[in-house]
Amino acid sequence: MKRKKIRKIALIIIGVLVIGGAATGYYLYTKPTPDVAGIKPEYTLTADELTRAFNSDEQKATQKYAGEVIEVSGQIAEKTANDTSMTFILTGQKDPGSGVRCSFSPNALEQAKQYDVGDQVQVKGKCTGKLFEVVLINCYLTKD
Amino acid sequence: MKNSVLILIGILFISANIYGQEYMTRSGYIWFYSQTPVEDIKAHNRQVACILNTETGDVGVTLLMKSFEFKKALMQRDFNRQYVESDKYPKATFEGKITDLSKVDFSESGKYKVPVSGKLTIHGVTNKINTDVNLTVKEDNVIAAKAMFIASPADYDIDIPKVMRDNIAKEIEVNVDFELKKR
Repeated sequence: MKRKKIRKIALIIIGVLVIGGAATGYYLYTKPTPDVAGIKPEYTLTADELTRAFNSDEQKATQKYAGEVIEVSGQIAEKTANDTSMTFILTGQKDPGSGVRCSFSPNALEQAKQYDVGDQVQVKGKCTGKLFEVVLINCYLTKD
Repeated sequence: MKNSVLILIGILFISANIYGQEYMTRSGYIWFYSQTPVEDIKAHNRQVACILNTETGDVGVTLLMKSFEFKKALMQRDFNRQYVESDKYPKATFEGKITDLSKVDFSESGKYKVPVSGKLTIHGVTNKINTDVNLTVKEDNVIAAKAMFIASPADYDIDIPKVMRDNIAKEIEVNVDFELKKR
C-alpha cells in the first residue's frame, strides 16, 4: 500500500519535471529577440569617439562594441527615408568625416521623422560592426 | 584571401569616385530563408553595401553578419556564435561581374535579366556562384536589382550541431533586393 503511494508520487513528480523542462526549453527556444527599447545601453559615447575606436583598431572595437546595445550622440549629416525604413548618418563635432549609420526600429519611425539634417541627437541601437560607417540597427532616439 | 577581396571591393568603391558610371547603395536588403518540416527560419539584413559599375559590369557586395536579425533570440545567438562565428568572420563579401553586358541597356529604362557570376565569401570560405539578377533601370538614375540564389551551409564549412540538423535546411534560399543610386 505504502509502496504504491510512493510510486504514484514519484511518477507525478517526474511528470511535472518532464513537462516543466519541456515548457522551459520551448520558452527559451522561442523567446523573441529583445527589442532595443527595453535594453540599457552598455556604452554611451559620441559619434567621434565611436568612429575613432573603429578606425584605430577595427578588430578590437568590433570585439568590444559589436553585438552590444550602445548609445551614440552626434549631428545628423544625412537622412534617408522611405515608407518602411529610416536611416541617419551621425557625425561628430570634431571629426566631420566620422560616421555612424543608424537604422531605426519600425517602432521608432514616427519619432525619427521629426528630426532633420543638422539636428543634434542621441540614438540608442545595437552595434553590428563597421562596414563603411559604424553600423547601428534597431535604433531608438533617446532623450538626454 | 579575405583581405584581398576586401581590398578589391575597397578599390572598387574608391574608383567609383573617379569614374562616373557607378551605382551604389549602403542600405541594401538581403534576407535568407531556411525551410524544413520542423521549422521555418528567416533572417533580415537591411544594411548591405553594394556597388555596380555599369561600364565594366563589376559588382561588389559586402555586409556585416551581425546585422542579420532573427525573430528568435536563441537562433540569432547560435547563428553568430556557432554557425558563422561572426566575431572571427564579421563580414561576408561577394565580388563578381555581369558576364553578359549585352543583355542590358543602362541608358534605357526597363527590365532586364542579366547573368552574374563571382566569388562569395562567408565564414572565411570562398565559393563561386552564378545567378540571374533582375535589373530594373529606372529614370532618375536608379537601378533596382533583385536576385535569389541557394547557399549550402556545408559549402562554407558551417557546422550545424546534430540536435539542430532537422531544423536548419541543407540549402538556404538567399534573396537580394537592392536599390542602387548613381554616385
